[in-house]
Amino acid sequence: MEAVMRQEMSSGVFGNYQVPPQFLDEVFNSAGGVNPHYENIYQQFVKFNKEEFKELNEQAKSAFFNQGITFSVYSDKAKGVERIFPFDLFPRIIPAAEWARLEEGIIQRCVALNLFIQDIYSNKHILKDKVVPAELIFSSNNYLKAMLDFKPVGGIFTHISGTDLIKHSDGQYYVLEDNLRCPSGISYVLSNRVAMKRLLFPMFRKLNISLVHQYPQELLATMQSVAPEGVDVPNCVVLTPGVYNSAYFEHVFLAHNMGIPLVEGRDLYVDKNFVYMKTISGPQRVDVVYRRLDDAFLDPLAFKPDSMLGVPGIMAAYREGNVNILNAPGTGFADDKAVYTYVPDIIRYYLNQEPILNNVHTYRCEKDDDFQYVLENMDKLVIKPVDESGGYGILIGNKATKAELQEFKSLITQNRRKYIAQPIMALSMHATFIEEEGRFEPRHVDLRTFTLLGKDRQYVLKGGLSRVALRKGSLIVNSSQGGGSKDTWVMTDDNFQG
Amino acid sequence: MLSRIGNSLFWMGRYIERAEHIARHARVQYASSVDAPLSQKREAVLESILDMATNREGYFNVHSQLNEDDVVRYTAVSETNNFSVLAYISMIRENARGARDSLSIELWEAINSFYHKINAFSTAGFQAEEIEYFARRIEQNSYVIKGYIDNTLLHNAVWMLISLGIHLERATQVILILQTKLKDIEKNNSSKFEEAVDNFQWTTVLRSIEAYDMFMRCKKTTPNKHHVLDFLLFDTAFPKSIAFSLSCVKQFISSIPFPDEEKKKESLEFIAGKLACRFQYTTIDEVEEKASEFLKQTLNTIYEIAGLLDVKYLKYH
Amino acid sequence: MTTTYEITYSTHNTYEEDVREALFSFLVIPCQDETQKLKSLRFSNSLQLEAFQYQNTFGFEVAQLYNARPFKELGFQMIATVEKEHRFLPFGNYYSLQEEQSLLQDYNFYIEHHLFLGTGYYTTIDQVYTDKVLIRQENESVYNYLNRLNLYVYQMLEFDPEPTHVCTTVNEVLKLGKGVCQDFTHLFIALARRNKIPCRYVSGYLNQGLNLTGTAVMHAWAEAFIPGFGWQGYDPTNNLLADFNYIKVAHGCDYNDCSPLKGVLKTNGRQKTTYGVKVYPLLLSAHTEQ
Repeated sequence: MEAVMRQEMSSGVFGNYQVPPQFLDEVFNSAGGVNPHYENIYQQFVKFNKEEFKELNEQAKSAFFNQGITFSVYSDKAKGVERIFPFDLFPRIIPAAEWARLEEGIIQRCVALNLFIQDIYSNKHILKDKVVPAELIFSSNNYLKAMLDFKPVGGIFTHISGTDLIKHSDGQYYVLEDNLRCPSGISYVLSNRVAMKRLLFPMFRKLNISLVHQYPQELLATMQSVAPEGVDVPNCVVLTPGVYNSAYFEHVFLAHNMGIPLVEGRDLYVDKNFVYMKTISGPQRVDVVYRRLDDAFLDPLAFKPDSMLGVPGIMAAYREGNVNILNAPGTGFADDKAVYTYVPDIIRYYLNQEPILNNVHTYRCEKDDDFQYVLENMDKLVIKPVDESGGYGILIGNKATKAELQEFKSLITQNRRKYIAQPIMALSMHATFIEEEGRFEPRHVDLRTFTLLGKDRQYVLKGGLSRVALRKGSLIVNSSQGGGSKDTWVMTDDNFQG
Repeated sequence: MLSRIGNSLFWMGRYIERAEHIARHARVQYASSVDAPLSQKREAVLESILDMATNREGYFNVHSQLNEDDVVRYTAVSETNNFSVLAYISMIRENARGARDSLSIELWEAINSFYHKINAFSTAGFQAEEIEYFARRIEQNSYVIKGYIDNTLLHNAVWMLISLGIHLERATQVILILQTKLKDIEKNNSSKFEEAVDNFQWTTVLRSIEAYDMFMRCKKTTPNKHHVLDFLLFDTAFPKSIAFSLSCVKQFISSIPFPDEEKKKESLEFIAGKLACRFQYTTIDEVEEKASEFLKQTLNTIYEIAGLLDVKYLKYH
Repeated sequence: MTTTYEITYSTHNTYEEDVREALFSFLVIPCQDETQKLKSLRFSNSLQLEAFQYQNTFGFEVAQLYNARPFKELGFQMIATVEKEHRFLPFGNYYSLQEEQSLLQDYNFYIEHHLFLGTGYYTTIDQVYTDKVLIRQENESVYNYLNRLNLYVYQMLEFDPEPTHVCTTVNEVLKLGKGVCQDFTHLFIALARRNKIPCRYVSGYLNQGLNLTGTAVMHAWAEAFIPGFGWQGYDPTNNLLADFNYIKVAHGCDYNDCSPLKGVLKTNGRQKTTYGVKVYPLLLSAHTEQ
């Protein structure tokens, strides 16, 4: 009897699960017991044997492939290659109370950053008061003079933000990064949830999980709330760089779910300072543009002159107040990793409140003391370029070879403004199904949240994209670098009895 | 609907019809060269295949003389020919992809899998005889795709734009086939009075348009110029006649929500309506003598309609 | 006292292939400030398009034309009359040396004028040219320095339209020792900013009755900030201070903010652009038509 039991245990999907000693495990406590908010779902999952679970996993994968939920990967050699974003069936669960605090903190942060951008493009009080060094802002490539003295409708610059959080081994959440330009990933959140419901429907009955499907409506309402003055029924569109963009699926997904046109730059034009869409029924005015296009490509007249993707003259129409653009151009200086350090001060300055979310301590190489510290402690730090995204150009000190360390040393020395360093954060781990092993193993996760700011409206998606570093020991969760994702369940109440 | 999407739908329709007609014409002509009466020269057949697909010039840019395998390969699959049947299949898929959001899943999958199947076809050692198999695939898949168009889409502007493309192109292709044949017959002056040859030529035309049996059922007589032209130009019940296609063109143009135009006389609806009416109220006796001229005029008006559609409503760059 | 000018800007563009769609942007309208008033303004173009205007970041009016019908040729003309006031030019310094410097070193002053203190693509001087940077003497006022700088640039460069183009940077100019008004101006700006004096690029028109360099086309000069006085125009191409003979269109950080004609066109072949300006003071007898 006992032998049979053991057989079952090790053939189950949790067979030989080792709770990582030096990291926080979201599901299990250090003694190996299941955390209360995971109890219910654990009981469901532990019943699967390896074969059953493998089959379920295959079903999920083929569902994603058939729906075309893919992204393209760029590398030096080939053009884009289509892949599905690996999806893990074991959801990440956040208790209601924990979430409530997070949500408060996320809103606080996004509101403060929005005020910061507004201030920088107008009076620059925060610079004059020496809270943030002016040189830091003026030297940023993403600080656009085309935005100076311009205030968009409702004073909103960052309508859509993606705040990236991690949970450290101290059990606290830390903000890793603010994404204030074109944060992506929401289509995965919604598709993950659809797939989960299809495959694991009974679990949704037992648990009270916050809904996420209303995000597209919320986004549309946000767009409508910031329509140019005097426009009652605004025409909203999603502007995509085109089918070859890595996030094209998401552009189609959002347009489709909001029921608004997906347009390319060549579908739009500007005449008499108004933006029009070329339709078979003649020109149709466009009032609000959710653009999934970088600032530099938005308007060849105002920015990169050889951009074929943008709309010539749209910046003029924008400044004249005849169209609104989401997010506003020029928000990128505020999610610069060097500005990140100042966000707690920014929150205190504008809101007169203590920051709710923690910042990871950051060393700025342009500061002499910090620079010295970084050079001496490279093996204990993560070193990042301030202006890149997608996990490119990062050095993780304790994983790097001698040659890599040496290379980075010279890189940093050559361009100190470009690099920051942070202590290597102990991202929490989460049980994740590893196909090759046929069972669950702990992997590092982070959490991208999605926030919408409109005129007199704020919304944080109750959930998010839990990104998983699928490679053993890896801390890099980006989809382009071998990351996967999990559905994220925010509980509506913390009554775990079920 | 965005003009760019409209453009993709319209051209998707046109290319579907064009690929089908070029493939079928090449197949039928090639087959006819095998069992032709003595006077039917092989060279003339090859020229006629090139002419109908308006490929003559391109062909002689790459090949110095007429050769059976070369002509058929060039028309069907050659990579040096941007107007080969294979190239049109790629363009069908490209346009479908551009408008994918407007199509049904079934239609998109039919087009996509057709594209992949045809591309798997070995083009390397393509022999003239293979046109039979190749063209039949094209023709069948064209009907499958058109079946999905008619039966899985809402019959709204999306469907109407595709159908407009199909019918505009069908009228064009039928005219090109007739023009080619009239030219062939003219060249073959010596055999002008041989009834057998004449009969054979017009039978081939009917087969190139898949119209032979319906012609016989209708006319119950040996195919000759008079009857074939009458049937293919004016029979309002036959879906491949020019009259039929043009009446569809007129109907779609007036139903698609294009904006109203200021000047009625220059409007698209007016030109398309006038052309369609002309085919309703003309008899073969009025045009038989000047058939070539009449076809040429008609084709020009069709091109004018296509040009106006493009400039006025479907332009996006 | 005032002088009234009639200014004509005209350009003719021809294209080898049809232009399918185009948006043109003209930064050519004389601006309005304390010394200039726009009395009349007229546009015409060969395509009969309706021009529309917007205000750029620096508050200057930009005229635009949009066209979606194929064309191979575009002629555009602006005729403006401008009333220009004669103002006193600065002479000597207005603040003490110490006051001047404490203002220029002030952090808030830097923040207010950062656009005209930082350097960019056109105006960043390479280290190899450090010896060519004219440094303000310790006991030299901003006013004296700027006069010296104007002469310095005027003498250093030879006016020659051949070797430079719209993308030429100060480093290339320093290497060549030659250039046009745009290059003279960029160099002046780069050096002034090196001395922490806010300085901006100006484009405009120059009275053609004076036999000066750079009158046949749109002219460029610099405006530098003199503590206690404000912005004053310097024309290093002619070693002059900008006075009522200078009609300003716009200012910005560098040429890129002031280029008179920008266009985004959809066409394939090559294109040719010609343009010219006429700037005449309307004398009292100007109405005696012939």
